[in-house]
Amino acid sequence: MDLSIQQIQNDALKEIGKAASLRELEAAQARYLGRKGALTQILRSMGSLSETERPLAGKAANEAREAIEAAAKARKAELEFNELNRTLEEEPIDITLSGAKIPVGHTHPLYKFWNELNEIFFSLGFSVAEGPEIEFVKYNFDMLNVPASHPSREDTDTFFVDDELCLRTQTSPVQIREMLKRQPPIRIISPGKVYRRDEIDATHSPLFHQLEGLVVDKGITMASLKSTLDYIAKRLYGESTKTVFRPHQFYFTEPSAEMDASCFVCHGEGCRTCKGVGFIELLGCGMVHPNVLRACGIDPQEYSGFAFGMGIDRMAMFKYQISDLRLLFNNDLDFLSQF
Amino acid sequence: MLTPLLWLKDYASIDGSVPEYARKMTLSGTIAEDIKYSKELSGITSAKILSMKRHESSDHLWIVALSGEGSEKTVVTGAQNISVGDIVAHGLPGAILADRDEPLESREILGITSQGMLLSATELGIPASCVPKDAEDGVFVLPKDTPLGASVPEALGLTEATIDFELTNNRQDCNSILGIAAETEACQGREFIYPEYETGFDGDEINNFLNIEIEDFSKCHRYTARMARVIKIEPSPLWMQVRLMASGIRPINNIVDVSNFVMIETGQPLHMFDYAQISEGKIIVKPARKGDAIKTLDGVQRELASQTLMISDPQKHIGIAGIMGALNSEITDSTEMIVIESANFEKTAIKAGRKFLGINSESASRFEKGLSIFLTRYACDRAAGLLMELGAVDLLDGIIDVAEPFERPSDVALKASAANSLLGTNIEIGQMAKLLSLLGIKSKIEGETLTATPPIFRQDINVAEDVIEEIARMYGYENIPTGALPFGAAETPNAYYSAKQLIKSIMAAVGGNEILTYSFLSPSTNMRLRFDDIRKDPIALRNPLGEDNSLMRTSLIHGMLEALSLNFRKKSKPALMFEIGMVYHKSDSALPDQKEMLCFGAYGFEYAYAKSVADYLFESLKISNSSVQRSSENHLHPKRSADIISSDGAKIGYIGQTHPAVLKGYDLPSPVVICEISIDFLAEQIISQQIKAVAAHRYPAIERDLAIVCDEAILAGDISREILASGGQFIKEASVFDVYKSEALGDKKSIAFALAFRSEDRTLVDEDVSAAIVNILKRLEEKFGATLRE
Repeated sequence: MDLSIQQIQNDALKEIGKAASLRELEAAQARYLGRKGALTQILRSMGSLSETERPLAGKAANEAREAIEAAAKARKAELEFNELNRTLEEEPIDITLSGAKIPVGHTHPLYKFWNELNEIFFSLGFSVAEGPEIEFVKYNFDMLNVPASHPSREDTDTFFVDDELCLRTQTSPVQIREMLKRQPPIRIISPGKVYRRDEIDATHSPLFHQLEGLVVDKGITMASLKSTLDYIAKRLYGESTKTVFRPHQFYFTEPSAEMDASCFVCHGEGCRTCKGVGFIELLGCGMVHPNVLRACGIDPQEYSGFAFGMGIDRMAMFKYQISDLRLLFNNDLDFLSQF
Repeated sequence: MLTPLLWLKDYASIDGSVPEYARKMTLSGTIAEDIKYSKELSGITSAKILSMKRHESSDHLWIVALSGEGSEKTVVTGAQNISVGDIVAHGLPGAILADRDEPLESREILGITSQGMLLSATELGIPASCVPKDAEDGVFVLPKDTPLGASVPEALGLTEATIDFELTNNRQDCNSILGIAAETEACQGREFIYPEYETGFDGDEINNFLNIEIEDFSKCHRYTARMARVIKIEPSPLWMQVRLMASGIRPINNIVDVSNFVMIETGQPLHMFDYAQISEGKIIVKPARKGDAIKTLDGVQRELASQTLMISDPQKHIGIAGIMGALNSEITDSTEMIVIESANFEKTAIKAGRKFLGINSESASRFEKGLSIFLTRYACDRAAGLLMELGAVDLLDGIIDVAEPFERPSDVALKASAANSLLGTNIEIGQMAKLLSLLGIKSKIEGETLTATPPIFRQDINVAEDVIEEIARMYGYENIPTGALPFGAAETPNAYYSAKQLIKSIMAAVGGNEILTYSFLSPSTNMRLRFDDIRKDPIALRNPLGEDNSLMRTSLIHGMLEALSLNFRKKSKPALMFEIGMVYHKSDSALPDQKEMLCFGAYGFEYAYAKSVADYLFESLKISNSSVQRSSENHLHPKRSADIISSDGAKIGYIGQTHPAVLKGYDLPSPVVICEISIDFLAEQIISQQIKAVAAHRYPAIERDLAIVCDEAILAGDISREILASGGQFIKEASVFDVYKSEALGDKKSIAFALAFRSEDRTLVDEDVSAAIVNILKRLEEKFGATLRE
């Protein structure tokens, strides 16, 4: 008896396995589990078995049915999947074609570079301070210790609205505003538009951009200045960047310096980008002049600070190897969409 | 400061190579901007013309016999500026000249062999503008004291490099050979001592001849004069000529040359007058009167202004102070007595005069930068001494020196610890004194305090920090240590700035291209935009770069339309462009109103596109309480434009299609869309936003479509607002998904809305919704005459 159940199960599984279509599968299944199916016959004939044999045979028959059903189900899924695949095979497309274009936006190269610079300063805990572009002459010159007779104050160099108002020539007045507003510690960058009375050409523009920085606190030294700006240069142009600080003169700092950084293209060897010098003049900096601190109500005996300023346009031009400043203001999509 | 090393080496020595020296100067603050080496010349010797005779078959060629190095040589030349006895530069066969690559060859000229040639300034590598006038078009005739048979490049100092140093504003003292010499010695670790130029002629004979009066000491701080009888006006000696030529100055004669030589050497401009032309022997320094005129040395008749400071005698003007002399008192061949003027004029007075007259003289530019009052007499004595040395004059005893009271630069005291704590160094006080001494700064040390006495020519050392900078320069900026960053806790980020960054990134995400435009505007452009509010009246610049850039923009429209126009003309595909920038409005307060705006625009798109972009921006920023209403902006299409209104009713921007009349000015066809939104508004929304999350909805929404028919003029936005207001407690959404017009509808339109109803407590059933819809339809009928579409 057991043997014949086992035999039926084996035959059924074999046939199910061989079924090549859903119809064949259904036929095979009917042959064993259908009303007149082989296994059904066995179950019907159970009544003739003894009391002791019946439960055993019943169990074996049920197990055989479950196995056959499971196999049929699995085979069905397989056949359906194959069937589906056959339909999909009939749906080929040109995989090189895209749908409607999703336009990609672009950040202006100047701001793209600027953001990169900002991130470096943010990582050092600097915050951004902003201010007006039409500025008091007092903040743009007087309080920055610029002598009354200095050429930069002339109509040939600076745009004026009247005797009291000018277009700021640097973002330093923002530093003045910040120092007037609060006591140290101060750690800010002031990025923004600045104006000088230059005609537009490949390297000049009446409007350009600066990022200036100011740190005022107890115990700020020229060594702090060097460490900070050296770090900035390395973050910006790579760990191997070397910096050189040269004495210079600005009215709002004393001592003052200019910082050169080794050229990020040739690493100091000399190339077209750095005009063969190996170094690029990166920024002006210095220790905030005590007159400036005092004018802003900060006691130079207690606090000291450093300030620095760099021209973003020129640096972005270096970074992206842009040859002509006018490209930054031209707004040609051909150009802008590279960034 | 163009510095010929030939000249510099009279006072300072240079260790190592020229580039090494230049680097040291740069690192100590005097930037060597450019080093010029001349080409290496050879085979050029000085020779004397023994005889000259005409070439038989030419009416302009000379056959010249030369005695120089070795045997007598014969040279054929076409030069006409030579005579027997002149010393000339003889290029021997094989000589390397400045203006050609091949060596010089012997040549036969009309049957005569020329052994090399006589050389011009250009062939020696000297610009023709720097050589004596008579050598400009012919061969270069060397000064009489040039040794014969010597190497001409060496004799002329052409073997030495010239360095152009960039000076900072505070170091006018370095605009001189002596000033550069001082820095040169200091940066190489040696102290420089300025030479003394006392003449020894200290009597008062001069007072019998000359009288000086300064009308206003605030315009002329000091005036010194010496006088001399002319012995002989002749070309200067070789050494002086070569130094002037190397500095780019043409030698003229001994008297003029001394004046120029002393200016370059000491930095102090001088002037020489013909004494005979000064009426009554009296010089008065005073401003011109309006209407006065003078003929200057360059032969130009010039009108003067009342602020121009003049050198005058009792009858006339004899020079414009510090700017240029007058023709009427110029030194001539018949001059018998000269007056040497060395004065200290106020820089602002010279600048005012120069600007009015439009003269850019070397003298004026030096006075304008401000000169040390100690230079006045120093240079006067140096010039007098040189003129004597050259045998040009006999000096009269005495000097006239009229000056306002002045003092040497004040001592500056500082604590060594203060210097170290500003620099972040640990320099001993004795070491500081030693470093300062290199610059001629004397120090007195008392305990911790160092009192520095600056040299008289330094006007830039006034406060402790100035001295500290000098210590740092000599210590070497490269030796100031770098190390740990000095920062504590981070500052609070600027939320407004971050908000702008967020807006920019959303605009880029929606496909926007960021542009950057100028802040200036022309009056006609602003008129074209036909504003009728504050934007109509922009802030004007006093000194613009021309009319086209004379106003400050009151909106970002112009820059945007220009950018769109450029790209349209270049046939770029329509694309969204945006900018965040400042606009400037007149205001009653001291400072004009300056606000940032977001502007975006595109050509080839209609209103709906711009509205979608704005919707995307607002939804991204989670701003849901703004609305639109028809705009009356004159630069926009009257019926396809909207003002954007905040929840408190303020206009915070506009959006729309640009008026075709405005587009004409930009060569742009309709449609062009543009939008401006206040950054203040957007930033405030972003900053004040506090997200309060609610759990996801538990029960499904019931959705219903509702197509209604209404008059053309009714706004979909108004209807959807009414649906939400009248739809009961469960209505959550009413969004337009179709607008339909047909002949059957006549002058009406059909708008289809998708409604969504939802409860947070239970699953809604049809009855909940149908009651609401009845109510909605009733209200729409009442308010808009709208009906359900059959």
